[in-house]
Amino acid sequence: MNFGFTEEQDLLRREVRKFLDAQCPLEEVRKLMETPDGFSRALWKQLGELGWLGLTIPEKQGGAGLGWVDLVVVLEEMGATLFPSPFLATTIAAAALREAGSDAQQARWLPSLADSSCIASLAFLEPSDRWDAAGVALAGRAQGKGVVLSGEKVQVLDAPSADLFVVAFRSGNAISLAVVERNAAGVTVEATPSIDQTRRVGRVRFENVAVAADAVLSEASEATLARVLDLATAAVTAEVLGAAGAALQITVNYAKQREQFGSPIGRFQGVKHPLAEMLVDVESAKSILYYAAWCLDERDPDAARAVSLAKAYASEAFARIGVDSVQLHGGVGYTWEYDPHLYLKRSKWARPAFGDSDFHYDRAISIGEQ
Amino acid sequence: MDFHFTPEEEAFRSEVRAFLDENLPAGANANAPAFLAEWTQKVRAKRWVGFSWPKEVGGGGASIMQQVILKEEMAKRKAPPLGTCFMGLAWVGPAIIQYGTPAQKQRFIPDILDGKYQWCTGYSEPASGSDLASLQCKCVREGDEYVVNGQKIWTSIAMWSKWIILLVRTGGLDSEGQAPGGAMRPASKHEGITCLLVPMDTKGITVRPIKNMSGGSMFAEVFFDAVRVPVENRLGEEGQGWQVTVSALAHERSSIAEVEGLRRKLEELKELARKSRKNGRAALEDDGIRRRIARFEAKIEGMRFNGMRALTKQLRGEPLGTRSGWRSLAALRALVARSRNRRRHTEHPEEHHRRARARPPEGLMSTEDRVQRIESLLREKLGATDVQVVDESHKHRGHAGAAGGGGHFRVTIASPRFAGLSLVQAQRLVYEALGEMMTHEIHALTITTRG
Repeated sequence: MNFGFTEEQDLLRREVRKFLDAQCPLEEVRKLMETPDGFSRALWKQLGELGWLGLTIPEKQGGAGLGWVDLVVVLEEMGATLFPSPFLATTIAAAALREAGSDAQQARWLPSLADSSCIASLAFLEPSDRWDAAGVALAGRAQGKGVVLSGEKVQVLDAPSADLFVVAFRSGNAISLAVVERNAAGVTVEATPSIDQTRRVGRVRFENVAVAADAVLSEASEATLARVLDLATAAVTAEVLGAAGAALQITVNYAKQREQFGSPIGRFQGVKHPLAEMLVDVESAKSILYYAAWCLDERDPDAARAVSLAKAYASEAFARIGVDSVQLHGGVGYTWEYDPHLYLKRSKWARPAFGDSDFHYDRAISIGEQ
Repeated sequence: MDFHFTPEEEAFRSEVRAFLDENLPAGANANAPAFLAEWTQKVRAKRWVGFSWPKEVGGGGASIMQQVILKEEMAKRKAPPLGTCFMGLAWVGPAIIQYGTPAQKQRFIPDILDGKYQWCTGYSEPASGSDLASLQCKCVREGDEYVVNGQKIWTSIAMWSKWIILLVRTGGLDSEGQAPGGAMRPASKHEGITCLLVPMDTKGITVRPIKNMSGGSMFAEVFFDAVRVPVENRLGEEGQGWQVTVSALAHERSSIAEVEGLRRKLEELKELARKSRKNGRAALEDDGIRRRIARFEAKIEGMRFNGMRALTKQLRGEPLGTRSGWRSLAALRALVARSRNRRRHTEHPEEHHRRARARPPEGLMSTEDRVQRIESLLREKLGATDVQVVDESHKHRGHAGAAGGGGHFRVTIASPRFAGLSLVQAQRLVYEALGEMMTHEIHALTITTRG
């Protein structure tokens, strides 16, 4: 039994942190979030060159073939600095292609995701607001050997900048995934204003979009889709916990430095205790997440329950930490100048993303009953 | 990260399970005195009482993982306790093992293991609860004896105990927080505390049980009125009591197994919710109840895995399970090397310099050896048909690589393995082939590849 990261994983974490500290500190994040794209194309290209975009993509498709435990390391760091980039979206889309695509389909798309030439995103959620197969209503009508898609997806990660969508659709009782290029006829993308300026989302409409047979992922099924969603949820949770940990750290630093009544406010129990609670929550959720990531890599049957517990716990914890972090900063916590609001806003996006606490608690207890 | 156990650990787990199957059959009345007596004897014979203690004092000499496995399996099956002298096993014994004289070890340890009698713990006082080190129970030495005057409170099972482990003040602060008699002021209130082992039937000890909210009594007040204790009953040195106490309390290594008890309780709670009714249906079908139970589950799992993370830190240095993880090591190393290499060339030179200096150069190869090693690794692992390695460290003199850490090299390499690969893929193969050299021996690498 060994529940720790390897030396190499620790080194990777340090490299990611150094890169982000040097290339994209929070001052830079603030500049980027005011731009139309919301992220830096130059840094995006570097992510490809560094090999991070290909982290979980198989070696024969130009990636490093590493696992979700390794990915967690990178995403925690990206979350900590609220790094704005389509990394999460593209990594999730790559997972969908890898899980549900044939060898030929993987070879067709994955190399371009690994080398940064293509930004991709999984288009799953619909106005039904259900994060499971039953929520998919987007219709795939057979036409020749291919399908014609009609319907709407919402809250699609980085939709405004995506070149490629992996779209969940329904044909009768069957659920499947199709790969659709952004400029395909009948696709319209509309940016959705988000409370979190560091994270771009959008609405994608499909009006009679013709998809050739070879762009319908051959291995897609309800089971593979569930696994893709588990992988995605774990990835989001890693980013969430990186951000929650950073919000806590910023607040601890402030509590040590801000003096009132002749003493740093961190000495007062009214400040100390919520900080301790925050730490317990962040560390507990991280522990569950690490276990979940390991289960996903090992294809352990406990993966789905672990993922749901981690996301449920993390969603609630980060929401509370976001608010408490503002609160504990006092007056300056409400200003634009100080950073807590950036994390609070990320927590608002994160809470429902890929299923909120209620959804995942319900799912965890149902899995336990099976 | 690996949650598998070693074959030896799995074998031990099976041994424990087999023991439980045989000696704790379903439906056994584990509370019956006869059953308990027999159980205690059997686990004692297995040396599972005092399992973590050294073998020379009669313990089991178990590794941390064995302790965890034993506790987990016992908790899962709701087994009776391993040994009956609870405080003796929890901290009195460990303190005696660490600080006791040979005579004290001989006198107390076997009795604790055999559960001959109970120990109680005289720590808290009316004015010293969480702030234990402020305790004031007064103790003065007179010849070969100590004389104790004062009061303890919240002393669990004092009324049924034969011995008490007692903390008293032999120096340091007096009741006004001053050093007694204007003597040398102690550096902290943790000094001047002494630990004594005292028979509860000593003249001058009065036990008054405290009635608790359930109407029963588990703890008591204990009064000391000129209680005389032989000096040979002191544990550790005079004034060393705080250290004795803290290290004994730290003996409990990990809470990981206790979480098993919570997991079991969670199952019982679910069962209860299945049987109970709320708003005309099973309580477990109620969304609110379900989510509350799921929240408990998340908290308990958080505790469980926090425990495992802490345990892993304790185990660093002991052999760890390595069933998985290594297969992706090369790929991960290559990725890290690539990231680091790139960063070093974009960083500010001064920064670059400082970082490399921080790493000790000892044990590294000479430059010639490195050039040779790079060449042979590339030929061997990549079947390179042509390799040229140029040491460019001199170009970087005065900064990092040349000064202390690894060198700067330019490599030109031709290999059929590069055919059809992108530049990035080919370079990755090179990093992988060089493997560990990238960590220390090579500081920076410029690569030109030909198919």
